[in-house]
Amino acid sequence: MNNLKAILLCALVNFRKWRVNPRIYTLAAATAGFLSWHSAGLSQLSAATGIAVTPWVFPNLLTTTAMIAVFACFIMLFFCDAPFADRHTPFLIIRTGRRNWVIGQLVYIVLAAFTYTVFFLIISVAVLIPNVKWDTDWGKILKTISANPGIGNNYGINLTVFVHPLIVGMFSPIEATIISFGLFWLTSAFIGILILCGNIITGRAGGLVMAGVFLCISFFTEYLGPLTLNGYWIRCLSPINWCAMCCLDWTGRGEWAPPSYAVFSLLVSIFLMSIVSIMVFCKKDINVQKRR
Amino acid sequence: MAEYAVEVSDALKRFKETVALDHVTVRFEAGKIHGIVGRNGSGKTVFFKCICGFMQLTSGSIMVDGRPVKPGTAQEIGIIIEEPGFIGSLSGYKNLKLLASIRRKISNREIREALERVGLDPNLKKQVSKYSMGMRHRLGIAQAIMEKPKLLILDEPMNGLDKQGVVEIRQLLKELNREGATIILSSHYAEDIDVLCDTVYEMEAGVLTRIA
Repeated sequence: MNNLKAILLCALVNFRKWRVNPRIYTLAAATAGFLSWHSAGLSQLSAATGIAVTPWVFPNLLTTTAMIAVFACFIMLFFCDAPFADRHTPFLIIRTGRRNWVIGQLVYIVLAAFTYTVFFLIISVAVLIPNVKWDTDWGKILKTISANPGIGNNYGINLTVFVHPLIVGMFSPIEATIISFGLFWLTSAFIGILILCGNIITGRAGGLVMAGVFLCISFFTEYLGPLTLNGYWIRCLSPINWCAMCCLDWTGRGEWAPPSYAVFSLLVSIFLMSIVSIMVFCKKDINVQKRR
Repeated sequence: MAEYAVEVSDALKRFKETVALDHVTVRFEAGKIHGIVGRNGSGKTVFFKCICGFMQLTSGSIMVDGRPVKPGTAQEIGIIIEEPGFIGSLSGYKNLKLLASIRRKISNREIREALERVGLDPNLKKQVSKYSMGMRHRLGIAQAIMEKPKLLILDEPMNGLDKQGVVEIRQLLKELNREGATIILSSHYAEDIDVLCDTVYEMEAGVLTRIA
């Protein structure tokens, strides 16, 4: 029980440091700015047609490779200094022990990823005000865009949100939002723990470099997929793409990774990287960053 | 309590080509104040980090209070190593309260007493991010002493303090020693060593030698 309390405290201490961490404010502003820009076309279309847009935009935000790359960059910014050791850390570690402290950092990444996902979801709706209206259905705007992606051209509007017809056809808005929320959260946690694990192993920013490599893979799988021999197997090695429902194979056509495979792979990777992180951290010298 | 608070046996710490601790063997008697002097880069801080378990020896062993130092586990040591850091958005008292909640050995009253002993006002609501360097160092010392550990490892504890502060902290360290704490400290000031320490060592290029 004492160990659990120590672990939770080590996790929650990082949240307390958000108030004096300029990177958190930068990330929040960049996310809000990005979503505002990304959803501007939707708001303009809604205003032009006089039809309010429903709040179920979240599952359709990361439907292009470029937007997925932006999401990954935000998460990399969020967790770039994992394992978050600063001059306060020795005072914690001497009292909790290294094992509890590093487990606390892993718990923090999972909780922080959840918090960011909630923030992303809320802002994705907030930026549509005052053109948003509650409805349990997808609504005319989103359905029209899914059937006719070029509808914005009729009004001189540049639409960047692409509504995948598969998502609209197969899932209700609430189902799609819940699934997207889970995928977004899981992928964010994966990136965070990858960075933590790599940074601990290399003692420098090796984890960040690894995340960058996966980002490059995700950027090119859309184009490399059709070019690879024996099918689209390379897309099964691109976990960052799995943050978006449209990059998973819901119909069994084999062009993307199956959802169960993606979720299982992410969970197993997170688990294995966590174990490695704990084992390596307990044996390595502690490097403290010069940060307030 | 063991006769020796810290026992270091043939400790070697190597960073690639550099030897930071060169086969150090020493025993620090419990209940005394031990001083270590040495130039910057001589290995004092590495030595302290190895005692606390923040760094792993390349070879050799360290025992604290008769038990081997294990990097994974918590230790009952009060420490200041390098510049102390705190959560900037909290007051000094709230910072200490958060740290004290881990071991849960002391009450709020004892936290306040620790702050008063180092010359800080426990009622001060100012955030630590707005503290002067001297106040941060005092808070660091309060953090180290508040749970009344049997062993204090203090790396240059007088850094950032004014003349009056140095006198006050020296007095405090003597009191803590009289109360039973073993103190191992490093300092650039010869006066700290002369006034405080029962034994004095010099660290030079990773080699520890007793000089008094």
